[in-house]
Amino acid sequence: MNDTDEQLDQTETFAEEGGSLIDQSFLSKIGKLDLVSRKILQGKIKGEKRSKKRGQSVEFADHRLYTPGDDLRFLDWNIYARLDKLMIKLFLEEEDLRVYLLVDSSKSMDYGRPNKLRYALKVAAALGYIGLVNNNRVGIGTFSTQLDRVFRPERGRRNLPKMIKFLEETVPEGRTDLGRACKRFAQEHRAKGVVILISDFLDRHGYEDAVRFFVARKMDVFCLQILAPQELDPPLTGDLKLVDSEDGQETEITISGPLLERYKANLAALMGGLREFCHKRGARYLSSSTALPFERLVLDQLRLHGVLR
Amino acid sequence: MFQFLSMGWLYAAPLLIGGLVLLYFLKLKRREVGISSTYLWQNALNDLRVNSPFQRLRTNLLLILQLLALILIILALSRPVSPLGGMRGSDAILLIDVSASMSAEDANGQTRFLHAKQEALKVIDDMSFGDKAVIVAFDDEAQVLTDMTESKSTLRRALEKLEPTDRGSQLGGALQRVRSLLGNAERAPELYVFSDGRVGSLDNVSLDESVPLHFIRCGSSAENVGIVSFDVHLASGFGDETRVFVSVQNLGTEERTVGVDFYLDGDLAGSREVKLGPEGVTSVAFDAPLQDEPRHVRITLDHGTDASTDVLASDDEVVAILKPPMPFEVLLVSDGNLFLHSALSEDPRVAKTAEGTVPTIASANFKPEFGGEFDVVVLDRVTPPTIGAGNYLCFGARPPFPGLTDLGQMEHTEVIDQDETHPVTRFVNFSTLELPTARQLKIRPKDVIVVSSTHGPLVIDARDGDRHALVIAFNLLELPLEGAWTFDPSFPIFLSNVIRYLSGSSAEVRKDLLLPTGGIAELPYPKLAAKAQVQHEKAEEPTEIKIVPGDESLRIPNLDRRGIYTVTFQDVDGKELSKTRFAANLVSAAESTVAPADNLVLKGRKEIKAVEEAVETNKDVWKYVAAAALLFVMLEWWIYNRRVYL
Repeated sequence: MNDTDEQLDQTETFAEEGGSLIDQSFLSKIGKLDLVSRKILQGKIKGEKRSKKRGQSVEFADHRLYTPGDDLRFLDWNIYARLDKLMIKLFLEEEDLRVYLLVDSSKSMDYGRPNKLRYALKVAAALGYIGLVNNNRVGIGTFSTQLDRVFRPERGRRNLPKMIKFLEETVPEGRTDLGRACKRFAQEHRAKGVVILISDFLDRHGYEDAVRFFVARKMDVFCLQILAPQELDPPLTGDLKLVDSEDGQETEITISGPLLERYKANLAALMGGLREFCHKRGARYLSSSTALPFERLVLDQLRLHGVLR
Repeated sequence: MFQFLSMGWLYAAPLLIGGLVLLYFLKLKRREVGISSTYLWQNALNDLRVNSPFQRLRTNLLLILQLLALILIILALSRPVSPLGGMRGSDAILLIDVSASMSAEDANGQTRFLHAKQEALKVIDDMSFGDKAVIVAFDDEAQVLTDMTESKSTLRRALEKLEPTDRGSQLGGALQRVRSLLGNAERAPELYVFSDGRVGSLDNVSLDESVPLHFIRCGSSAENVGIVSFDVHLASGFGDETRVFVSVQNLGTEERTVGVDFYLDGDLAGSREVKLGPEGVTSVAFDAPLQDEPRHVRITLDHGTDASTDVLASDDEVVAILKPPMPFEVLLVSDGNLFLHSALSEDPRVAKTAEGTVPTIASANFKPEFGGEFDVVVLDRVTPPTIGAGNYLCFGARPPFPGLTDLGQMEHTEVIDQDETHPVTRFVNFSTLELPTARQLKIRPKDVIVVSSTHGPLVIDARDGDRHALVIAFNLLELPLEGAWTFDPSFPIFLSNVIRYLSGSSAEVRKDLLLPTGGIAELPYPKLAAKAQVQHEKAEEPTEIKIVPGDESLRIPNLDRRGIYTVTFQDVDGKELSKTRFAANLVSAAESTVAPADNLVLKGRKEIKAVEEAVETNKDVWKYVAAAALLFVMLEWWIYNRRVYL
């Protein structure tokens, strides 16, 4: 068995890597964390989050002119008395935050050691847990060619087992079509919130549409790119026939220095391109290797990037 | 230009290379590896193909290296040799020494001649396209064996047929012969001399400095003891004994002891042992009695335990056929002389009449033509007015030669001197000769006085044209009876000497029996003979020589080999008329001196240093090619294992 085989054997399928997505000790560590949105987001019930939307709340924010149909209960009679103008009092409205976790469950995610999909689901579980315990509405979607499964937005710790179950039932299948799946998810979830898109972003159709859909809906988008160390530095030598895990497409290559360099350059270009695309559109981006323990990703990297606090 | 000793591998090369390419394609059954997405790999491949036109070549780098290694391995197996030096685009004249000394067998067990042939063959093999060559074999004569030709096969055939001779060596003559070839050649040819350098005198041989001359020396050893001279003489004036002389010389550098064995008709008849220091020479004689039948004489050298160090065998043996001398035809013209009649009749070599006496006629019956019919005509007190061509012994009278006159009688004269060097005075003592009277002769300046007296010449050797006379000034019958010279043993010896002297060489042991190799045998032939078959004792087939009517004798040239030649005379119908034998021997100190020369010295040229090889030994280069192949294999292996980092 040569080096390549040994290295390739280190990739593990999703099925092989068992165990629970999240353990109790880790939950206690992340219990005090909260999700951060850089935008004021609308919710349907008053929650813990302070929305940038002015509304019925205790904290005064501003005045505006009365227009017919406004609730007369919020007229500022003092102003009317002094200025003879009908002004409506605006209050900062406190709302619950919607958190949408979109996890790529295509076959390309079923790769690497540690397995990318398993890693992604763990991250999603952790973020979902944080969302639930902070009374945010947490909705989850898994997708490949299309939006495969959806966990309707729920709030409250009591939904944690349901959410974990949902995530654990995820199986890798299909090809990646980020744009199509995200479009579908955006259509189904019109309420604004934080969208955390977890994928390897290895999509022949491109990632731009996916991000664009959410940005257009004023979502707070965070792209988390998960890659296996075997993808970042392929341990391949010799004459190989590479088989695409999604479509079975075969590519014959003879590994050489220039080819590897070119591959790495292309991967760097993909990551750089995604980062730039996100920044230009007010979205956030973070890439991570599955070699990085997911606890460190959650506790360190996501906090560092302002996703958690 | 490389040459290949095993061409078979080159012929198989396309098959092997094709096989490798086929294997390479078969090898491209790649290992399947599942990965998340080929998306980035395809992009990388496309990028490389677009950006690097040599990428395809790079992909096949291993195949190219393997092909190179395979080609080099095939080349190595084909045994490439690189000729260093050689003719390199010039014509060549190959002068090959075939003389006797080239038969010397040196320490390596190979004769010099064989070595010369091998070296000449190398030159032929080394000829480039368009090169021409000619082979000239030389001993004491030069023989051009081929035309100036490009055909290597013709040259090889000529070389293969070439055999060494037992003759002497004269490079000078060969170089003279070659001059004509030099003049006709389109390009200035190079001369290659394959010899041991014992090629006779080159003092007067010049060759233009611009003609390249290579001296390829053959042989190494100088050790040789050989027979350097050989002769046969009658043991004395009368008997049937002959004496065989050989001179044995040590031409080497160490003292040697050799046995000299004498065989008569195949039986060992005598043996001597001689000890010779370096350059030492000694003579050994054996007696061989003559018989009516020819006798076969053979003398060989026995080197004993030194046989291996003696490099030349052809000078270790001489042979001869001894035939009894032909009887002398003597005619006595006398009116009665008992002394002469008795003495001549007693000489066993003088032909006798049926009565057993010497033919005798009276002076009145003498005819001038008798001189031509007899070997010697003895004129006793007779002076014919004319005598024909021939040999005459005149007692008490002069021959009718102009200028030789009789001055009258002289009395009481005494012998005062005799020419001891003259053949007729051999073993003869004239001091007992008392002469009461004798004729006083007036001689001419050209006459030779053999014996002189107080009053004038007594015995004169006189010639006049084709007439030869020994003139005795005294009359035998007038000698005093008491103590007379006619009763002295000197008298018959003197007569015998005179008859042999006047008869000339025909009376000695026949010289045609002792020919040197390279000489020409001249043999009398029967009247009806039309052709002769000449057969050497070791030759398989006889050589036929046609006899041209009118020739005095049959001439047999080119006696290349030593030994016995048998000549059978045949008439027009091939019927055998008679048979005779003769011998040819190598008796040459020059040829027996076998020490190879270090250089050749030609007049007006720098000395030409000897070299051992005509063409420098082909250098085997397969090792280097194999090393290069190994290098490529290693490079291929390294790249195979490291190419991921390249």
